[in-house]
Amino acid sequence: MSTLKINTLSNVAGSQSISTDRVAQGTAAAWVNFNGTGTVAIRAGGNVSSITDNGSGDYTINFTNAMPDTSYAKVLGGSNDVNGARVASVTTVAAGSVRILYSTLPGANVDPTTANAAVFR
Amino acid sequence: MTTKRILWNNPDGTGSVLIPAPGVPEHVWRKDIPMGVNPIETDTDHMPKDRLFRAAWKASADGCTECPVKAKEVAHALRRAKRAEEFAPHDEAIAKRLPGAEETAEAARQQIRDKYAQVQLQIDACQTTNELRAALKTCGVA
Repeated sequence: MSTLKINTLSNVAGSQSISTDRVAQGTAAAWVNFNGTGTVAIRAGGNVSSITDNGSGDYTINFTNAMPDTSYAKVLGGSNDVNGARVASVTTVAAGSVRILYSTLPGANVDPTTANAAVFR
Repeated sequence: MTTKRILWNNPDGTGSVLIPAPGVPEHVWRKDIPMGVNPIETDTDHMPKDRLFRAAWKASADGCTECPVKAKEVAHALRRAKRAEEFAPHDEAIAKRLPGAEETAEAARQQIRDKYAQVQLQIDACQTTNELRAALKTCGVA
C-alpha cells in the first residue's frame, strides 16, 4: 500500500480546494443501511461488522474498527412503508458500538423498512 | 448477503439476534457476540418471518422460537392499544360535553368495551402463537 501525503486537494483550475484534514474528518467513520422488518438484513455498510437485533425497533450497530472514544457524532434516519412518522434516537454509546431505537411519536417501538446510520469522528 | 444468524438469550429475558455484515470475515463479527452468553447459530430460513411477537423470541436448541406466554402479553398490549385508538374520538366527544353527543359517545364506548372483552377471551384461549396471530387478525387488531 502506498501513502500519498498532501495537505490540500485542488481542482485543475485551482479555483476550488479542500484540506485533506477536512476530507478525513468529514468522511463517515462508519455507516450502514439495513432493513429492520421481516428478516432483518444489512443492505450495505462501511466499517460495520454486524448489527444486533435487540427487539422491535431496537438495534446495536457494531463497528469493525472501534472509535477512539465515545465523542463521535451520530446521524440517524429511517422510514417505514406503512406508517410515516418515525423517531430515531440513540440509547447507548460505546467506542465499539452504538445502540439505536426507532419509535412512533406516541412512543411505541417500530421496525423501519429502511434504517440509516452514520457516525463521524 | 450472508444468511447466518447468531441468537442468544439475555439476562433480562429478551432474545437478541446478530446479523453479520455482508463480506465481513467471521472472526471479525464474532467479537460482537457478548461475553457470557450461549450463542446459537442458525440461518435466515429458520427465523420467524414476521416480527409481530418479536418481544417473545427466544434462542433455543431448535433455533429461534416464540414463547407463547410472552406472545400473549404482546397480544394483550396490542388489544389495549387498538381499543384506546377506537375510544379516542368518543373520549373527545365526552370531554367536550357536547349536548346529546355524550349519550351517543358513551353507547359507542360500551360497544367497544364489549367487543374487546370478547377479543380478550379469544386471546386468553389461545395455546400457540399461530392461534394468537389468527385471533388478532380476525379481530382486526394486527
